[in-house]
Amino acid sequence: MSSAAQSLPRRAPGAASLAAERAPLVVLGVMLLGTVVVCLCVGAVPVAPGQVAAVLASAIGVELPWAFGEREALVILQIRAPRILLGVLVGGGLAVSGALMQGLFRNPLADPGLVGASSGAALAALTLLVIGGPLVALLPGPLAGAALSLAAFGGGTLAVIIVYRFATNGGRTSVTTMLLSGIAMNALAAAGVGMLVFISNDAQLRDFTFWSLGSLGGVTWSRLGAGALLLCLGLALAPLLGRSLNALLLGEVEARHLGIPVQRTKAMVIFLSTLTAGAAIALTGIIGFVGLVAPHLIRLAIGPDHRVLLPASILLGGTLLLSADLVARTVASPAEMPIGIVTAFIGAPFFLWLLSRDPAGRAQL
Amino acid sequence: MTQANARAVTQAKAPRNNRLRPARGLASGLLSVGTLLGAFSPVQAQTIPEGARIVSLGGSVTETVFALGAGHRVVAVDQSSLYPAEARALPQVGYFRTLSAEGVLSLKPDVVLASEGSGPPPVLEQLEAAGVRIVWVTDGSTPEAALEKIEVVAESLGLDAEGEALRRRVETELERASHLRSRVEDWPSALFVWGRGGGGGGVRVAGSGTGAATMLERAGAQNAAAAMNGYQPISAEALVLAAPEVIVTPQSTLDALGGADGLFALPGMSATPAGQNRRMVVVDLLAFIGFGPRVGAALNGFMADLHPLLSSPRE
Amino acid sequence: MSEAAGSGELRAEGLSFRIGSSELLRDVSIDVRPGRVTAVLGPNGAGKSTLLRLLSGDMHPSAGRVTLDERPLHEWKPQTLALRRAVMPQSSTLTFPFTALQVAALGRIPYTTGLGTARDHAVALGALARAGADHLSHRLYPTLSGGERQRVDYARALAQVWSAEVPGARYLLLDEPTSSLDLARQHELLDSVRSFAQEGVGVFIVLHDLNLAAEYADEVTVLREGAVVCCGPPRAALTASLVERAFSLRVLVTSHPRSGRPIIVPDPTRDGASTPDPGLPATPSLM
Repeated sequence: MSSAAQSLPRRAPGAASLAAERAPLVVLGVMLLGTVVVCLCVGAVPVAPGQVAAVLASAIGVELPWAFGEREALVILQIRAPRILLGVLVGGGLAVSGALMQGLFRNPLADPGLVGASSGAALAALTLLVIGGPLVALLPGPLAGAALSLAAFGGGTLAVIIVYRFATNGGRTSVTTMLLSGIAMNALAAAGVGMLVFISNDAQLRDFTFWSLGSLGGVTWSRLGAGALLLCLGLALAPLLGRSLNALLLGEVEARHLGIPVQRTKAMVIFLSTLTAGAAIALTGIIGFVGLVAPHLIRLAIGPDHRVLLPASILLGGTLLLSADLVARTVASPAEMPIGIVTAFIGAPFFLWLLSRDPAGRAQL
Repeated sequence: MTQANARAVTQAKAPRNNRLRPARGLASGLLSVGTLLGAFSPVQAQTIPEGARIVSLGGSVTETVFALGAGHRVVAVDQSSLYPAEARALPQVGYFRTLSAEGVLSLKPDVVLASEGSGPPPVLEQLEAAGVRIVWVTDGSTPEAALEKIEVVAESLGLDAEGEALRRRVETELERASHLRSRVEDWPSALFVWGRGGGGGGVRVAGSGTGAATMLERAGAQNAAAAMNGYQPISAEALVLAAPEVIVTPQSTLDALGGADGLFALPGMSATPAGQNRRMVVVDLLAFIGFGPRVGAALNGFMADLHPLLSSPRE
Repeated sequence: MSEAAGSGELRAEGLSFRIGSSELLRDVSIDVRPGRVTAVLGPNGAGKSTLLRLLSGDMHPSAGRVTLDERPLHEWKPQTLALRRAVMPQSSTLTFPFTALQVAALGRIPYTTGLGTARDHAVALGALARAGADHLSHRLYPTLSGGERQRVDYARALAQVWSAEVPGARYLLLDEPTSSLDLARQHELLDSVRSFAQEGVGVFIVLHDLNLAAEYADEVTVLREGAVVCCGPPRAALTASLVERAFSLRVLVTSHPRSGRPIIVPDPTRDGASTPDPGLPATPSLM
């Protein structure tokens, strides 16, 4: 019993404030769930909410009194459901990878694109589209179907690995060098993309343009596959880094004083951020803005504590991407708008509005 | 090169199109929808019945359907279906390579006439799973591909007589062009110019392997840009070196460049024979490189402009 | 726990530190004992902060060694070390909008895995109170003034070694913790440091102000150009001649009328003959 222990405030107001720390996660979880329900019920093919419930219930062997046809069942179970799952995973993945990078670089504007994840993926995807045709033809069926995803994932991770290696010397990674090598990597990838655009034909260019605007379309259960598993892995592991990232925000030396294995943490942050961003890009192409906006909104609302920020970003990212996809697949129906257009068109003005009325001045920090 | 492809035109290109496959992977295990889907009856019909709702993907496929007189059965088209005008009034399902399964399904189609390259593939799989028949139509950058399209589309629509008539007409037109070409002694050097104006790399020319190059060759012209591949920007010096005697360009490009004056004011153009003589032929882009049922007429029209001194005995 | 607290110490033996050809520290030994405040003094560039960084294990000495409880510092796992000693840096680079309370709670990181416990929360509040920063608890750290930040940083360090939760003495390493504080706050903070030391915590503190060191430190070490000029209790170590040697400034040393601790002031006659200032007590120990 030291006097220090005695000098603690009488009844800690801690318990109440801890509940307050967890409350946002509950709220965000409910929001995500609500969005999922709306997304299940809305689409180009009209299906009544009762029918949606009946279809879902029938899938688990329960009969509900609403009648539905095969087409409704197919739309719900084979088109909307996998797409919603994809939206949640990719939205969460983009948001958490943004949050991780922002924590690592101690800069609220950072994202995995900064260290080459997006440009590397884009370069690899375009390479495949323009000159990879003969190679794809050699692949067995399932691999050929996933060739673009594999290329994007490989290109994105390879770019980050190269940047990481350049910035790591004697077992220590310099975040500043990483940023600078990232800039060089992005410039190099942009040059490569330009080169390929030069030799590409119109169809290839158009494919690439659409890919680079992102889409959740064309997803089936089987195509979720490995990408979804990688995303699940990243989403499950990333929140465990919250405590270490909080410490890293103080500075690397300070984090070490707090007992954080700094180098391992940095490597894990880069690994998980690349994994989630890479898998998300591989599954849907490049979707901008979610990785920046979701963590930012969370910081504005509940502050930068990464133990809450990381899981909250996942939930909000999923909600945002699902909502954007809902717009993308209904606004131009029966056609579909690339989702990147929606995230930017809705996200950017909303973001500006939010910054302009930011009461606590948090955003300027 | 497209000959082999054209031969392969058949509905069998989509091997699973007549049979619903049980849901694979995650879902089948998780939701046991396999049995649910198994309840669908397979689509057996080889030809598309009169009342069927058709979604047509690809400009030349849509043109073919309308040319066969089946335009009234089409309920939606893709973004590239710009001809005939009736097609433009129909609902659009977007770019044919980034289709939305649910968007297409919301039109309640029975058949999708899909140009080669329609996609993404999983969307077409989903459409098949929903009982929509997919008829694949091979695309190709040759006039013969247009004939194949007519055959496939007519057969799938059960319009054998109309198909035969249309095919024969186009064939005749192509034969006439071919005959005409045999009388061309001196093939002029032509350059196909395409794109927007506005400086920079706005304008591109048709190198080897392009549809436009094929048309030049079929019309009895040498491609001045044969040394290039695909549609590429051309430098002023390369333009001088290519030394085309005639510029071939679509109306839209001419408009974008500000008419013939703009076209011949392009850097390097004044040093070419075409520029000096201000010689150009304006073509209808869709008919010229769309390789649909208008290809024969487009070729003949083009040749008439290209070889004005060559009187056609059968004209 | 008091037995354990009494046993060990944070000790530097014969430390040298060299970058290229320049020697920042030369054969420095220092003991930081539980319950004592050990201050290190010296002019700019004397190697004070280098010594702190070697003592905290941020850098490895070119020669000599740092031990905690007689075990070399680098053999300690960072996680274990974090439970025993906290380091307060000169300034923080934190730019994210944490509240002061959250920053103080960051000091509890070595003790937590998931979200903070009620105890962590209470400790953070207690630490803010002891740092005189409890009124800042809901302010955003990046909006605080330099002095306010310093108190919050100090609270974070306190929270990290708040009470003996593992065997062994606790240590607090402070790098110029009063540099941005006004006079009253300086004394408030150092009062708090001393009372913390009295609970058995070994404090190592880098200070600029000789009088603050003289007032609050149990031991002082004066550095000049990387070498120890003198060390010992303030009264013995802070003589006019030693201070002059370290700082190249002639000073007068007198004693505090109440505490009897030394008071060091510049000698106004440092260029000419020594004429004692009439305002000073009669017995200056000049040179």
